[in-house]
Formats: sequence, structure tokens, C-alpha cells
Amino acid sequence: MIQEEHLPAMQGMFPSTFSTCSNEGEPNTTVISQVWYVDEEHVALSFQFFSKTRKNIAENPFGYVSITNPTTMDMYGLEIEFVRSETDGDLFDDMDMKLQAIASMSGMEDVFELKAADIYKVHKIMNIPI
Amino acid sequence: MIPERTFEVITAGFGHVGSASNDKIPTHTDSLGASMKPDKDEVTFFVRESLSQQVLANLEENGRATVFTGVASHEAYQFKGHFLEARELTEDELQASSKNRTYFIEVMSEMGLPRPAVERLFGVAPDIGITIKIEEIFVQTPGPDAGSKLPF
Repeated sequence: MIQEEHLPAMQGMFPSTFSTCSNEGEPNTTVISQVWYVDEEHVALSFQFFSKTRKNIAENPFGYVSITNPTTMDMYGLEIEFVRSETDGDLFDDMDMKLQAIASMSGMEDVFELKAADIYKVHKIMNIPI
Repeated sequence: MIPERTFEVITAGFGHVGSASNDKIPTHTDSLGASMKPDKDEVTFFVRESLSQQVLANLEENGRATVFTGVASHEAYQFKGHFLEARELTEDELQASSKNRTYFIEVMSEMGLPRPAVERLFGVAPDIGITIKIEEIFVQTPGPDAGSKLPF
């Protein structure tokens, strides 16, 4: 599913866009700092703020996230489904360290805080022709 | 009336227009500028039709729309409302988008992203406008006010 060509778009160098939908059918779209490669079928998204996104995913686990390769600007759309959250362990620590680096680069040290690494199963990856 | 503090972010920001199918599967497409009628609470977001087929299908299906738009300073807002129409862009709107896209190219190149790639991303003009009747606005600027609703 996830191939080598997709990995540069999962370095956190370019913000990703994440859409969810409530149980009532209300969409929500926001920007997130990290889409992290976990394995060929899973990614982890940074959960930083208690938000509508979090509420929606609790009601309806399906989401759509678009990612961008910062070198080529190639874009990919991922259809994903929430699996679980991790609040400690190697994955969480790695994402937390990267998030702090992103926060430092963008002047958001006091604002960005990783609350969890949310793991999603990837059902489909599409090239977005730019 | 749409609050004045959001005007610059709406018209000069980089946005994402979201929708969901009746099966509650969400999707989104990027917007490349916008025009607005603040007194009527209407905003038209400029998109590329070829990249927006699913978003448009969803909007025709159930009418629910959401748009996240922000600027380089991190100031950002989420707009929620009803889809009104998809239409061709006017000359003024195409010119406004061209100005925005030139600005995006400059800002992103200054951030260290490869200019040829950024020009590739923003080099193609939008060809359709998605007009939304705005019903709710939420602050999305990272910080203590994130998520708060703007009265209007």
C-alpha cells in the first residue's frame, strides 16, 4: 500500500490536510503537523488539540488526509480509518521529538504539544495530479 | 455579516474545501483564493474542477461544506455552511487568484521549498468557484482561542 515514493511526504516538512465527518454528516477539514509512516498499511497522525476532528473520529472512524512531498510538491490522498491511540512508547516519542522540531521552526514551541499518536489503517492511496 | 477580521485570511489565505458523502466519507480539495459578499455571508472559493470532482459530488448530494483557510502567520479560520453553487470564475477572480498564487510561490520559496516544484504546484489556475453560504466561523489559529466560535 504505502510505497517508497510516498515516504518523503511523511516527513512533517509540509503541513497535511485532514478531513473528518461527524455522525450527523457534518464535514470538518483542518491542517495537521504530522502524518507518520508506521508500516505499509498504517500511518500515525499527530493529535495535538482537543477538537472537532477528535470528536468526529470518535463517532465516525473514516477520514481523508492529503500529504505533500516537499521536494517535488507531488501530492497524495489517503483514505484512512482510525485504529487506536498511543500515548507512550517509541512511536509516540519519535513523533513528539519531531513535533518539537516543527514547533521550533515555526515559532510554536509553547503551543504545539503531542497528546497522542493516532494510528490509522490506510485503505487507499491516490496520486493527486497537480 | 462575516467579521472583518477574517477578510484577509479568506481572500489571501491558502484554503481547503471539505465535504462528505451521504455515507459520511469525507474528502477535500485545495482552494487558490476566494471572493466574497460579506453582507450576504457568501464566499466563493477558487478550485480546479479536475481535482474537485468528489467534493462537488458530495456538495450536490447533501450541501454541507467546510473550509479551512489560513495565512503564513498561522492565523486561520474554519468556515461552515451550505453549498450554493459551482460556477465559472470572473476575470477579476482569475486575476485575484493569479496574485495569490504568485504570493504563495514567493512565500514558500523563501521558506526553502524548491521554487520549480512550488511553481508547479501553484502554476495552474483554478477554473471554477464553489460558493458557500457561511453559517458558522471558528478560530483555528493555534493557541488558547483555537476552536472558539466567532459571533456574526
